Amino acid sequence: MSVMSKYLFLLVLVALTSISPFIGAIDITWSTLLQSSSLEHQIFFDLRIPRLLLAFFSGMALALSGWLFQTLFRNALMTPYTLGISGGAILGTGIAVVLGLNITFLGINTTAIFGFGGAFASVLLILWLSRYVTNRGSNALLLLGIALSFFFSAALMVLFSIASAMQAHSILHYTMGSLSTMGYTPAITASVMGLGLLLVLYLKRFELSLLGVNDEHAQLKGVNTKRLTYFLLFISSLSIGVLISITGPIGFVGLIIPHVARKLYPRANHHLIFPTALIGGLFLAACDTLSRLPQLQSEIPIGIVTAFIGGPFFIYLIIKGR
Amino acid sequence: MIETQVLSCGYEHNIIEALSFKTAKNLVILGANGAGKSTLAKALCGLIEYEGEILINTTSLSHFSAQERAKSITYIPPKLESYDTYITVLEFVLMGRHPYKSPFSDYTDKEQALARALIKTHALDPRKSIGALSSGQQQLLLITQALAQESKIIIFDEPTANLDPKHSLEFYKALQGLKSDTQKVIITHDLGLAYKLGYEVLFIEQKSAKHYQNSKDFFTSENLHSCYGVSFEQHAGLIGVCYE
Repeated sequence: MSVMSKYLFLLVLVALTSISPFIGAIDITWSTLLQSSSLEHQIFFDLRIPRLLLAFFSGMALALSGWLFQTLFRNALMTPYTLGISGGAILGTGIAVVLGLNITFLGINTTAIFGFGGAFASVLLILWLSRYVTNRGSNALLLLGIALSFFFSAALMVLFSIASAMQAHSILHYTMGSLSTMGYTPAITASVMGLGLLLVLYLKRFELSLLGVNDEHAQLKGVNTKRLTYFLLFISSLSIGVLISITGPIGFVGLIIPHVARKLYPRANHHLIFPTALIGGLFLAACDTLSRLPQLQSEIPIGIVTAFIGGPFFIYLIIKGR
Repeated sequence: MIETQVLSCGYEHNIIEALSFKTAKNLVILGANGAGKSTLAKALCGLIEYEGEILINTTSLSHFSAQERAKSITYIPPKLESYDTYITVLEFVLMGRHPYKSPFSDYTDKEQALARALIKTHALDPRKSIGALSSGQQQLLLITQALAQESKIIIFDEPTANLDPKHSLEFYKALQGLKSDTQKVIITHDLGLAYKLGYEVLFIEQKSAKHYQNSKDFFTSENLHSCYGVSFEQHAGLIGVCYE
């Protein structure tokens, strides 16, 4: 990628991100924004800015967890999504909806707990199953993930058939992913998840750089790889599970952003933590802008936008063989 | 010092069975393909599970923390295999200092200087990415990293298998450059190298092993023939398979 196109790409992301709070069903101009009593002022600060923050930090957490999974399993196609962990989180959240458990207790929503529970249970399931396939390489793990995804979506279909019409609608809407939000609580939760994951990965950057070579190499340099892997999987499934319970599943960000970051900044894996976080945040915020372009009759679900961009990219990665 | 007591290890089935040996000297491990040389090496470094007892410098391997173990014993694979190929030579050599580093801090200037000096000695370019090196240079890189790691015991697994004669000689020289109190263990099929080194010999075959404390006892024509089942000829200090 030439230097020009690198800057152009970043410029487009930043531009789309910065116009994000100004566009939508109601256009906001500077003059109306400055009147603190106006409706536009209220929309801007209570809906649009929290939404931008939610998009940015969700994108950060998704991209970082993709980077982490690719590093831990040393496979370019590995993400929480491809391993079926997102599917587990959706199922967990769906169960909470059908059970009518939408209670907020001490600032924690029960659906968030179920989302995390689903994600974490899938991580444990994947790890348990992986013991039987590790000698067949990480592609076998990927196939396990696909099998799990199918199973989870089948289970979700069963949930649909026992849910009431309203619950079914709310699950369906949820499975397409949405960043619409009111107030700052979801944005703050997402920022804790995104920045928390960033901090943990930064503190573990040296161990992760050793794991980027291979597992044996890291062990020989004094890393307890088993404990580290479990710890990092726990942290990332926590943040992904909680996020999915807020935004629903948003695919492909974790898959493509680490590769984009490496294209823009070709350095060793552990140098990509900050670029991945930043580009992930900007990418999802930019996608959110695209989903709300004024020409559209109604908002496109965010998961659809990322899939439109990510699907072809996924095919490109497979063909390129990395 | 390395000591094993009725050590058994392997993957689906045990390859090494009830092996007991003990040595404080440099060692060459020889044996046919699949005899379990690498399996033994990996067990000694705690990379695979095992039954029985392994003592590294009189301490049980199971009592070591991962960090202490890395300071005591390390293993150099026959080939560099890395998922991340963008790591630079300097970064890779510095990884050898990881066991000495405090958890969250960067590598110190002193360690950077040590790594740079080692890289210079082996004529590598510190800024080059490891994926761009030739296989000979990659082997040299692995050795340079092990030198930086300063483990008390270093196991080399077929270090010359992928090297041309010139790089083999460079490896031999690098080996001489190791501190004299470093215990070296070399797994090889290169009998010429093994003979030249004159280390103690551990010959592994189908679930049994024989330890020769004197290299000369191993390298007799009769013994070589009984070990490998083929004839060898010795000529001017060189040992080769008799192809006729």
